[in-house]
Amino acid sequence: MNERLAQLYRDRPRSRFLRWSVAALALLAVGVWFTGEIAIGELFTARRADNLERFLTEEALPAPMRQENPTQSVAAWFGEIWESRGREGLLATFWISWLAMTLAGLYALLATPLGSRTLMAQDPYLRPERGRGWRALTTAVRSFNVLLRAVPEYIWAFLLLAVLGPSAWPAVLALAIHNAGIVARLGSDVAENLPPRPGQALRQLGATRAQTALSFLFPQAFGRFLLFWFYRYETCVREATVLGMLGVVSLGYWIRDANARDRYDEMLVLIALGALLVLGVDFLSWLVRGWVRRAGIEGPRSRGSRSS
Amino acid sequence: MAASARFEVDRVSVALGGNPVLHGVSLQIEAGQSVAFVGPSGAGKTTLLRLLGGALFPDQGEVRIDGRSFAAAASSRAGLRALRSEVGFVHQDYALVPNLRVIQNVASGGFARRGFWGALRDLVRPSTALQEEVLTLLDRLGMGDKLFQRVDTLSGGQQQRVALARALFQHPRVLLADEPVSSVDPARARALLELMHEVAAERGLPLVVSLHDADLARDLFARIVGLREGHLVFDLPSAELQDEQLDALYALPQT
Amino acid sequence: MRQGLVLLAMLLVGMLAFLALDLHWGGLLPTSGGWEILGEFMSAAWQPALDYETPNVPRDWLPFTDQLLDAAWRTIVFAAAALGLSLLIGSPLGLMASSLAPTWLRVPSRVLIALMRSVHELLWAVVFLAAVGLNTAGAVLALTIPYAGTLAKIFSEMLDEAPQSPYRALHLAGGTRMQAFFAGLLPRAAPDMAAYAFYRFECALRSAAVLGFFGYPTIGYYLRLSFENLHFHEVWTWLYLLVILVILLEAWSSALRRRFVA
Repeated sequence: MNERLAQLYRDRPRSRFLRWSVAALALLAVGVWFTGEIAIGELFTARRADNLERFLTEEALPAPMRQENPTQSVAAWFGEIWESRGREGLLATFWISWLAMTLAGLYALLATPLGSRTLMAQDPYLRPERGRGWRALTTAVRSFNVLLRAVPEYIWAFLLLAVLGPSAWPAVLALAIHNAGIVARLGSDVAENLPPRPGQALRQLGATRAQTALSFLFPQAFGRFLLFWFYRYETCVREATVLGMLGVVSLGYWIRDANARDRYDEMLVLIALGALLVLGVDFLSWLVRGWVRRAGIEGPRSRGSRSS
Repeated sequence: MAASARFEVDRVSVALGGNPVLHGVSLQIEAGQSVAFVGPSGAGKTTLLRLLGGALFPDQGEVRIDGRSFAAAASSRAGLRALRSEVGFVHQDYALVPNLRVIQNVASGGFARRGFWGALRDLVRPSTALQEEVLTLLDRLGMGDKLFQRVDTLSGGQQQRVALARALFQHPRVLLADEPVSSVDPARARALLELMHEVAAERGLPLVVSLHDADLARDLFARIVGLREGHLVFDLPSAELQDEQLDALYALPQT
Repeated sequence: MRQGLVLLAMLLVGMLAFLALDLHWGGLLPTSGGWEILGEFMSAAWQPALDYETPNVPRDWLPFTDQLLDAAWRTIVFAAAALGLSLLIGSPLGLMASSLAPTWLRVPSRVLIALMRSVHELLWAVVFLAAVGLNTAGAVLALTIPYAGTLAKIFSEMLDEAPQSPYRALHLAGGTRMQAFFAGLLPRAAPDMAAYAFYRFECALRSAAVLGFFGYPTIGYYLRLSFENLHFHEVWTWLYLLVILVILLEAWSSALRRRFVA
């Protein structure tokens, strides 16, 4: 009995690669805390505690609250920040992210079919074999997508700012480039995971590749693609806020400005405004996703292509 | 407590989402009896089985195992769990975890006897005693060699037997199965039902099954209960069941 | 038809954004100094630096290649520490925000997640810098807050989307909710959750690199210095280093995914 159990146990299917990967990751996650690179102890020194206390009890409090004889009410103080910087920064953040995502979406419209291995074949949906040319095409498109998204938007913006000079373009382009790589990859994954039957039927009726893309791939993938687009849009709004810190007039610009003037009360108000914008966009995205689902254009669920 | 249980279904009515599904159904199932529920789809077979398993409480009437009703047991979580664990249920979709191994799926049938940490141990590092027990059970069902295989590598019929093994590992006092053979071919369906009969008989368990195939039910089960539109139409030993009664049961509604 | 309208609406808002931001097509052309920078920068792409472009580097700096490895290692350390901590916080929080949790727990959990996610990790870093000063543990915390929130959000959705029938079956067989969750639901959702965590590790690498812009010794720190000194060959080396890290990680995760899912 035990002999047989042992034999069955030895013969069980298992992946050594999986085990080693899990072990390596666990070791990494725990080990990094013992490298000395992360100064936890130093976080609790007296100097840090003093900093924190000063920050919380003085610097972070709205100016009128810590003055003996406030020259203005807290409401007026906030109104001033809102009128002079908050509203403008908020709107700029919103527009920058939307325009960037529009550009990324346009690129994805082109790159989605080109990166889809099911469509880019000699005889799409009917015969699985793919010649060297088609293989090269999808590999090239997908590698290009990797390149686009491998560099963080913050670094893209930093480089573009030096080249293009100050305007909203560096922020817009940086976000567009990085997200184009992500959205295009998600789009191709969605397209490849579509149930192929309707596509096969169309092809058997004699539809060309372009016709199949237009009447099968795009309509079927649209709903799920829209869901991913809005997931990314949420993230993009956060990034647009931050990119301002490089000098574009989004919220981040004024956050850095307040930070540089050691006006931490203002800085926190502006960060909170940004957070409110993000929460608002989350809500908007939630509404749109609900609408997409109710309208029944979501299309089939695909595995493993989620991003946020 | 006897190994086998006795069911009483006492004038039970159920509505799901506002639609009446069962109307005043009464029946008794004695210890060790085997019963098949037959009837067209939408007759309420599955609902009746779910009532027997305690997955659902009746709006009116009572379901009792050896005199104890689910509704009364529901006053305490532990009491309800204990009563539910006495009923082994084989689900129509098997309800297995495909990316776990057979032994993990089967062992999870015994959770009612285990605490939280015990259950976790059974999943991650099962004891030799547990492995042996599951292996013996699987050997009886003719698939001991699959002990450490992942469920999603098995065929439909094999998964069905894993689901049966999990229900048996519960040490139940009654075995229920909802359309157990709806997705296997006729030859395998018969073999599978015969196997269920055998293991139920060995353990002295009543076997209660819902089937859409009335002929199969008549061949294999001693007692047939016909349901149509939530009403109990007949409740007969299969030897006494007439073809006309079955035809009437499955007849399309007159329009 | 409706899909066309949605696309059109998105494009229109995009055009509105173009006007509202006061953008001009001319802005896409580099400035006169920009052309020069662009030219030098692009031509440097084919010759990434293998050593410092100038001998005048601070005396305590390592040799260039050692500096590369050191910065890469620190970037990995930051990312791994933050992601490990995020998993520790995000996993239970995800369970608490899923529809398995009772309402009194689910609603506050979701609010907490939304708040954690609503502020970008770099802004958290700025706040921590202001509050306690430059401290690496603070930087890890800054990364952890939004990452834990995002993991929790996506995990809760994955738990809700996973097939519920094994969970219900185990509960019906007399198991407690927790037993049924660990044996019936979690294993089912685990491959998706692991794949997503891997993707987030990739994101964490990028974020950790960018943290260097704020003075932490990751890739971004040296990238920024090199760029500001117009050492474009060095800039490309740092960029390639980051890209290689990301691509290696992606190759690892897709190799794992093939084994997981198949």
